[in-house]
Amino acid sequence: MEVLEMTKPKAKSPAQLFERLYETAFLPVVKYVSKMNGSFEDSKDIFQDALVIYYEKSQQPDFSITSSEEAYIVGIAKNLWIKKFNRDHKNSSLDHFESEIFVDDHTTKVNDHKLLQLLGSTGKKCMDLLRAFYYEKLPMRNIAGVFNYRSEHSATVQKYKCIEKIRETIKTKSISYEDFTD
Amino acid sequence: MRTSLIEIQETEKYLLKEMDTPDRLVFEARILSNPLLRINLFFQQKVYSVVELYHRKKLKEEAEIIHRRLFDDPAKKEFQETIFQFFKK
Repeated sequence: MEVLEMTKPKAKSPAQLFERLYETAFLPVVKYVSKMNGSFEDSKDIFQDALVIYYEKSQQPDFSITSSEEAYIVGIAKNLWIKKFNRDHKNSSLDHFESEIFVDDHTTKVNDHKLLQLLGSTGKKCMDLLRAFYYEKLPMRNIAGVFNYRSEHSATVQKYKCIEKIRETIKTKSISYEDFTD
Repeated sequence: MRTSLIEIQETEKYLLKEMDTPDRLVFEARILSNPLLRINLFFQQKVYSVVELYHRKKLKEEAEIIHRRLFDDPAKKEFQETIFQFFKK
């Protein structure tokens, strides 16, 4: 039987990265947010959004930083704080933070939160598969192993079937385009 | 692969800008002349947006687990107190 070699997309898993950064970068973020009269919960929300943004950026092939990771996180957190509280952007934070991940050029203004809610637990396996491919950037060979497909080809076909399934669910759930456009 | 899946594959290549110019032009002509393809392209974009949001939600869940572990663990008392001192009025 063929033994699949599991390779991580990057050296660090998000959990390992988050754990380390919690120990080193949470305190400076707390210092900043508390100085700005923010609460513990504000610090937590801002910091977790900053972690996710940092992780996403670190996954980009041309990513490099000139400062320390901690300083970079604090910089993101400060930006998020300013966006959230000083520019009257309600519900700012990560949801409105411009991601540079690939769909940016193609997305129109949509209420994706509403879509995700409507999808609920529908096709969780498909969502996990698509996430693994597009965002965790696992090679198809590994995805076949993790999701129990007999070959890379089967996993690839399944990926397109998943897109079709979710696309049709979104279509069915939408009464009109206006439901999803701001 | 069945035709509908091949069309999804092509739509993906178009959206990810992985098509060369001749293929892109042909595909754009098809979009103009085929309303169903146009609708499917619209909704395929939504699929990627929703998967991105799902990914972020999952990452935040991982961060939340670490947060809870750090702030529920008695062994991390010193760390917790250092943080909480900034919120004492």
